Amino acid sequence: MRELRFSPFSRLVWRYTPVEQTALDTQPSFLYGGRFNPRAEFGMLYTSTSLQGAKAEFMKAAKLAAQDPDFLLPQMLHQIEVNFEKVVDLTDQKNLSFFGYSFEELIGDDWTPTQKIGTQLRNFCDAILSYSAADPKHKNFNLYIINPGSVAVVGSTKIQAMVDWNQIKPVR
Amino acid sequence: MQNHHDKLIQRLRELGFSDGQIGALTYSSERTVQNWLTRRSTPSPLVVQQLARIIEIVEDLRKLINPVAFNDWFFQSNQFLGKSPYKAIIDGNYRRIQELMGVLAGGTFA
Repeated sequence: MRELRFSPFSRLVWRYTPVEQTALDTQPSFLYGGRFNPRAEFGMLYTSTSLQGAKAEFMKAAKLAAQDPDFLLPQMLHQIEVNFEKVVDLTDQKNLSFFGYSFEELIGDDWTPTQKIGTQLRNFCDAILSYSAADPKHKNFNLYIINPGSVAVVGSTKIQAMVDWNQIKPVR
Repeated sequence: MQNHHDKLIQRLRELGFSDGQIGALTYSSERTVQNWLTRRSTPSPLVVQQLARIIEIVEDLRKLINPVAFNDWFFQSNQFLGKSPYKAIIDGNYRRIQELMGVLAGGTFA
């Protein structure tokens, strides 16, 4: 792990959830598994570094459900301030080459490589920055650690209709 | 009196599956499924376990998908699975189905 570059990361990130789910709930990712966390081993919190990125993730989920996106509404859109010292940026080629995978493999439909990386990194960093598979123009911030000193929900808005996505403004 | 497997097959029928599809999901034929119901034969404990597991998965998926669209969705190819959910169950890709549920439940990103 010594070859890896760890960097600090402080900014606003975005995440949508069903209305009944709380903003920082990692239980669904623990129960079902996620791109960087194997099911039932540990949970992670998946966020996007931009509002448009969060919307792209929502649109991809709607597509996979073969649903009109409106059918999946309402959803909560959360704005979360994060402040971490030890983040691995997998959009950095030098970091990625350490694991021997390509950018394409990291955004592919097979989660085996990313879950392997997530498991390897779990005890060495606080979070992973990665390209979004929904739209690689955007980046996702995937957190292992959720503690009040590093993570704060600063805004939550109910999205009732698709047009609401366009009305959202960053709270800070 | 209904056996446990009768109830499971009946539940799958209520969920919209034909006997042929129930057969495919349990690596059996349509005739075999009908034989189970008419007591000509009895499914193995493994098949009964498989029937229960399929019901659990289908009921969980139905909570996440528009009920009106569910049957079409279940038999159509899904980009995330690389095949239909129906085929994914037959092939035993349970882990991937769980991961899809996580995306649909809003806990993870695809």
